[in-house]
Amino acid sequence: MTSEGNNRRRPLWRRLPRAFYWVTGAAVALLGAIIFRDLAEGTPLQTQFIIWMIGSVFVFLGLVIVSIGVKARLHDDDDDQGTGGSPPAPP
Amino acid sequence: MEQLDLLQIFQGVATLVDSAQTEPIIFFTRIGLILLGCALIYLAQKGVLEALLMVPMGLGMAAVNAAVMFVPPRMAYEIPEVGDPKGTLFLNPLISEGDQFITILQIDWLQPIFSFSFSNGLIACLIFLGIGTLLDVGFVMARPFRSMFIAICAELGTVIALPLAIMMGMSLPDAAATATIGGADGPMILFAALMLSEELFVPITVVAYLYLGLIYGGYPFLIKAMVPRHIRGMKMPPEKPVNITPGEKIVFSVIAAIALCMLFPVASPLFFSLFLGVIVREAGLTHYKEVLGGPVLYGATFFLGLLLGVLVEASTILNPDVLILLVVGILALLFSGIGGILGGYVLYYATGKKYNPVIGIAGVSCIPTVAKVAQKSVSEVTPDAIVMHHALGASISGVITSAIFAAVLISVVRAAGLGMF
Repeated sequence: MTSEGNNRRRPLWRRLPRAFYWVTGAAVALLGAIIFRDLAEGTPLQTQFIIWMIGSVFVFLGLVIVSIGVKARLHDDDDDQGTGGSPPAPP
Repeated sequence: MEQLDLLQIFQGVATLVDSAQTEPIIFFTRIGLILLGCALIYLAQKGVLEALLMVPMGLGMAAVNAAVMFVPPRMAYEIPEVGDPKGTLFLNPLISEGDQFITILQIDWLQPIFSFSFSNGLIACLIFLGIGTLLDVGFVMARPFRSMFIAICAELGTVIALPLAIMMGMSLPDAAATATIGGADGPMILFAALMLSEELFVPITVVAYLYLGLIYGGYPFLIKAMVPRHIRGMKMPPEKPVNITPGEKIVFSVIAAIALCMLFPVASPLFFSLFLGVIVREAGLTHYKEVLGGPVLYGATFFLGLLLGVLVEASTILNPDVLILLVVGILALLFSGIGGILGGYVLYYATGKKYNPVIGIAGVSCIPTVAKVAQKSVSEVTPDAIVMHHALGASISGVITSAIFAAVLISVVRAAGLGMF
């Protein structure tokens, strides 16, 4: 079967580019952090604990979405170049 | 000829005899702490405890308690502006006024290292920087749901220890600092204790490190008690190798660092240090990685052990809360281990009995000890069963999770208007 055929068989969420997962994951994590930090500031002490924990869950969720981007990329042979790596060699 | 007073010549013997008559509790505690210091060195040398930390801690503990036997602590501080200090001959942990600080800085030989690295939490951050260069977040990214779920379950000890400590009579800041022992992360416990508990940060950190040293011997019994042999030795289905690029790990670390710093500003030095170390590693900055993972990490660990050791003076240990701390600390670690294994069982059933619940113990973040414990327990039953990569993922998630729980506790205590800073 061709890679195009494989691509069609995979669900839509696995065919999205890696950058989509990075942006979505970052948005979920950062918005979760901002919103729940603000929420915690105006609430009683007993409630703050729960609000902070919910905020942490959103940060975790964002990181999970970023990690799913890796798995999506691994199913796409053409996009397996990666980024980063060693610094340039000294002159 | 003037008569010689032998006790004036041998002051050590004189003050030892004197303290036995006037303050027998202090006398016996000091003798006990000298012996404990020697025992720590012996056990570290035998490989029972972590030698990198316990050798300087043991010698520091023994030396400072021997020293105060022949020079009463206050003799070294007979300076009017200093008043009635606490602390040992080597340093004073509670100096706050500027003038006092400068005076003490010129007297106590370890005071500069304490004041410029301990009291502001820098030493915990330096250790986290070094640990970061050793962490491969790829283990978490390869199986994020499982790793993070296990890590959250393994914080059960922290959650239980907080109300337990309060019920046993501790104040909220002391209880919160003690509860962080459940996270089983040494630098994190030190950081939280420094932020929360002025009086108890020394015993909390020392007890935590002693207990963490005993994990390697204790957790295998917990695993055997909770996981039957046939489940313990089960092999995990083979997985396709996941090649995660350095760039992906950097993206993960940057997002994690920014989001966690944003949510918990109070613990941002720790999050920043940890993920900076990870990014240095993944960016291929070899020279930085060698410095942070070598001299910085080992230098900080050495001074952490040494300074904790010299702070363990008899009057510190005789605080009545130390007994509660000993009980709550061990219970926190016990419940964290139980929580981790229960989380492993949840995944065992959720995956149709394809997940080895022993991996759950690795969610207790004491990396890499608990991951090794998990692998060792499985290998005892089935030598060719490999769970190490799953265990490392859970363990690295555990470091992040215990930082989050510590940050929540510090934030709650600060919101209540308590704590040191």
